[in-house]
Amino acid sequence: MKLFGGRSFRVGLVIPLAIFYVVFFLLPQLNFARLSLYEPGLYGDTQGSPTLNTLSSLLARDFFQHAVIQTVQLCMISSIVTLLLAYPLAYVIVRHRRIGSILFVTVAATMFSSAVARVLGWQVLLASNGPINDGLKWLGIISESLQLSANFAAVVIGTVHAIVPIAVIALMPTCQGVPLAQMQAARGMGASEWTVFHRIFFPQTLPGVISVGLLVFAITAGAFTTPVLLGGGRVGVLSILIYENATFQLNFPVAAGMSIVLLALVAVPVVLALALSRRSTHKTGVL
Amino acid sequence: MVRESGRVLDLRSPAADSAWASVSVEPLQDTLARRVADKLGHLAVGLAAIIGVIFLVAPLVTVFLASFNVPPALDVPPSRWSTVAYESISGQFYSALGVSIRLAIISAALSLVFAVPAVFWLARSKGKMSGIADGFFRSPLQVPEIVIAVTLYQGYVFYGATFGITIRHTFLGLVAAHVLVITPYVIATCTSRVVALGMKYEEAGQNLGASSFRVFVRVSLPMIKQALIASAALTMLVSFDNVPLALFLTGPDLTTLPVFLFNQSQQQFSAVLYACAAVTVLIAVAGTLVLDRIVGLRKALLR
Repeated sequence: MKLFGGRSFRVGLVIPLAIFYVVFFLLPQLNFARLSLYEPGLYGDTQGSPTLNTLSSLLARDFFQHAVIQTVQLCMISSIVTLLLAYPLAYVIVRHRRIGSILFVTVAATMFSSAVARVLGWQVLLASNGPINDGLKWLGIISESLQLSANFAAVVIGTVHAIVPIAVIALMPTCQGVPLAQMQAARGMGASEWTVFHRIFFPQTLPGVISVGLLVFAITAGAFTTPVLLGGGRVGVLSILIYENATFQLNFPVAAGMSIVLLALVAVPVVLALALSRRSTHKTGVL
Repeated sequence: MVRESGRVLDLRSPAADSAWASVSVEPLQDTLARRVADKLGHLAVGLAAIIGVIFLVAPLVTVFLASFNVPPALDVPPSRWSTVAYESISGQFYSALGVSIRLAIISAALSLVFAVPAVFWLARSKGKMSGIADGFFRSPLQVPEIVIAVTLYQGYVFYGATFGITIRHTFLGLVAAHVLVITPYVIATCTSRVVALGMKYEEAGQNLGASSFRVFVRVSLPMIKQALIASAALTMLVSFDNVPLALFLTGPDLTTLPVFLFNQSQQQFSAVLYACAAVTVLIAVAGTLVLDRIVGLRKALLR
């Protein structure tokens, strides 16, 4: 059957979207990449003729290398902590229908809650006289307040909180892919829950777990709202530096150069995840 | 020879031998070790999940608790409970809320209008082109939002300088940015549905003499109605909570809800700010519940 008459008309279905993408995605991206080839002007514009100076001097600067390292650190720590928190949640949601659906609604509602609202919650919880410090003092674990806010630890906590729901949803199809019959068969032959988990369930979800980890890495690299609000000006990851260069310093060539590096940083895990998903047949969620 | 449900199984055959060899013949006993391992396993998984849930919910509950303080105080839990913070929410908050609701509805609708026809081609064309196009249309999802925001800002400057088009700091420019960010979700949600739908219903419609357009409107669209509702809801929720885009693309007289909260939270924390945040959390929770009720969250969020 040919929807909308002939074959050419079917291609026509895609043209409005294609035009939209060219105008609002492709051209702006190329235009911005072009900016990185100029020297910054005085009023947020560019000057001189195309040169690689801006890029090469940016790459050589200490603060920039430090920002890249800090971004990678944040991504790696967040990915591991996120997986540790998200995996049990996905497991329970998939294996226990009734508790699972309540948990799933909770996870989704957290995901859709405003990033700023979540950060505001953490600001109170992590404050030096906040509930966490008070609780630890009451338990006698610490005698003086820990510095939990406006630092790297706070950014890790906030970022993990933002990404755990996404990771849970991405892990669920992988977890659902393990055939129930296999687990029941193992139970029937005398395996304990633990044996079923680490001999049958876990190995089959491992490829999915790795690709979700890579996905989390990529999302964290580009995260902006949470790091900028929880870092208290002391955490300079790439996304924050791009924001500062594009707003306060009006240095768009440098912002463009940083964006290219950030995109490269995001591309590595995305390409790895794609390669991995070609080899196995697991599925991930819409996100 | 064993007679089992009418079927005769020859236990002496080589096939049966090898099948039995791997099975323990002793009757299965629920040993103490297995029971302990079961209990410990349940406990560990339950504990891990409970920690996860507390971690997820704690900051949101904190927002609600903090919002019931009497303004200068910000204790959790409040030393004096009051709803006075909710009464002192400023008019700016409500106008920002109005902008965000309009923005969410318009960009979700536009995104559907652009993406749904394209999905029918993407899902059904078998050429190499459609695979490349599919990847391209999903790629904004991989670009960090802060980068999309800055590139669009500069893109609008560029369009203004070369073609004299004023789109920077306009509502339309903001809508376009949101459509770009949410279209990949629409494509992901609808593609799987269109693939699952197959062609048979549309073929039936055409064989009965309906025009292609009529088939599209009366057969195809109703059949993917759930995916459409799910994408609309999903994109509204996503566009409702976007800080970076609005941060770069709104002017002084145009503020969205997330940016209002973002700016306020960089100034001073007050119970009033927490009341505003609590309202947005309530909206998100209500949106999630409605989505769950109408389409089901599993259907909406999982392929």
